[in-house]
Amino acid sequence: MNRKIFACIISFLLLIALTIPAVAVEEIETEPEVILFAAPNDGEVILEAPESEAIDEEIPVNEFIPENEFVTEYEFVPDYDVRFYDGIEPEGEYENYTAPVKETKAFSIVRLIVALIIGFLIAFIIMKIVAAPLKSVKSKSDANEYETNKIELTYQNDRFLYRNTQRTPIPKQAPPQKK
Amino acid sequence: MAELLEYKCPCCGGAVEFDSTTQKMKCPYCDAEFDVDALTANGEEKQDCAEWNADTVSMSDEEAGGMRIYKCQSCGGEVVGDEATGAAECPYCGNPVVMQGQFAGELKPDVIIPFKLDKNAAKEALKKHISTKKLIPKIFKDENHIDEIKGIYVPYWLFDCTAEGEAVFKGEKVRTWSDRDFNYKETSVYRIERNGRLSFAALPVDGSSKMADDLMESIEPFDISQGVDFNTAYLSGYLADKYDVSSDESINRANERIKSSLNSALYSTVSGYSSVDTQNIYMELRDAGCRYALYPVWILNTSWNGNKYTFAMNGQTGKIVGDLPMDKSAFGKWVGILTAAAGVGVYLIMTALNLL
Repeated sequence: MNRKIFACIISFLLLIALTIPAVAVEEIETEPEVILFAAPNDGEVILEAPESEAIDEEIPVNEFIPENEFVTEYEFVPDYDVRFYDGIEPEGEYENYTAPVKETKAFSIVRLIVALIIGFLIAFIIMKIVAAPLKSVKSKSDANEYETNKIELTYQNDRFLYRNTQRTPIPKQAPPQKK
Repeated sequence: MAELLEYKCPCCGGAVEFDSTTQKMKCPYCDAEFDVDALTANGEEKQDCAEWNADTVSMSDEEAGGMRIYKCQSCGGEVVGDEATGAAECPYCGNPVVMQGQFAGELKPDVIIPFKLDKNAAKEALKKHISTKKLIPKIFKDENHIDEIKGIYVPYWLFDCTAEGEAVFKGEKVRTWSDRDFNYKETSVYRIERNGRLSFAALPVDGSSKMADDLMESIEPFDISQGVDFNTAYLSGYLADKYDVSSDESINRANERIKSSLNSALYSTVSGYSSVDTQNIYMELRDAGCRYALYPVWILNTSWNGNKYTFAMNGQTGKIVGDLPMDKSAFGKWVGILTAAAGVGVYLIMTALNLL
């Protein structure tokens, strides 16, 4: 009886695992991929495309922007390699940067196993809580029910001993990697 | 052969018992009711006329093995008990009997709480105890029948004292802040001293080696304010044991519980710290005293699947305890169902977050 139930459960899980992620991937891929990044205004940016879609075009840098500011926007086409003409990457942090969307796996057996293990732990804890009232014989560790008055303090003292300070460096945010 | 005491009905001569409902002595044959004190006076008169019956069965101490043999005054049958047996029932005529001398002199209890609940209340309590719990095997519920039910006066030592304690705690105050480059955590450590006193009254410790200590502690508390002066008439119709664990042997258990409560009470006076740990506690008892008491307990035994299950009910408050068997197949089935449900949920969450 239990084997049949477990077989049904596993089949159900596999079915869900195979169908739902594929739908999720489709939805993600329909999003427009626009990347905004900055380039120094004293350099030139060239878009290099595969041979089949080669774009032999030099995109001029905005001439009205003062030196050492990074403000130029380009629409990014996937699979195009963006390089700086002089080979020197700009310093400083990028702003208005949107990371490329990660590719979602349609099905992961590792994910399924981990989900089942976590699910089992949750289920076991819940059932242990449900089964706890079956054990009602327990020793008493205190005598609180037999106190005749509240605690009457006769002396109290709080004495400072020492102080300890820990200093932890704040991790810096790394600049985003370019394709 | 030691002597037995029976309480006879002045009307019909039947053996009378203590009735928990009316709190009087009642004759089960003619339904006559008597006050405990009145019947005790009558019983004492009979006791003066009773003759000491010589033990005709010679048995060595080793053969006896701690057994004691009594002779029923109603039918002459032999009632066998052990050194601690204080009240029982004649196996031949069923009359309730009280072993004289077991509760006399120094062995006389200081206080007794008479039974407030009868056998039917105990049965109902057990039924409710079983029916309200989940994961009990259905067969156990359906086929469960009580093998044995008995009302027992269990000997207890009651400890009264004022406990004075000196506790030392280690407290920590934590302060955190950040600047541009670092997170800071400052921990200030304090030595916290608290002295105080706390009084306890009638802390019970089981004085019977036959009764499991955890079972007896589980049916606490008893309300000592309903206790009365001991009278053997209260034992009629019930089983009773005299103590076989001395007060000296019980002191350690009482001290453990008192110290734990004292520590909790002193701990509760400490505030304003992120964390507090007990470093040391010293306890000294003042005005410590000990009383001997008999408390009413219903013991119910049942068996299932080759295992014996014992339940205990507080004969004063009705609190019932006892471990119950678990339906392992139902447990496994529910774990499976919940695993599937939780697994789907976790899987969907992991997919949405694109983990693994």
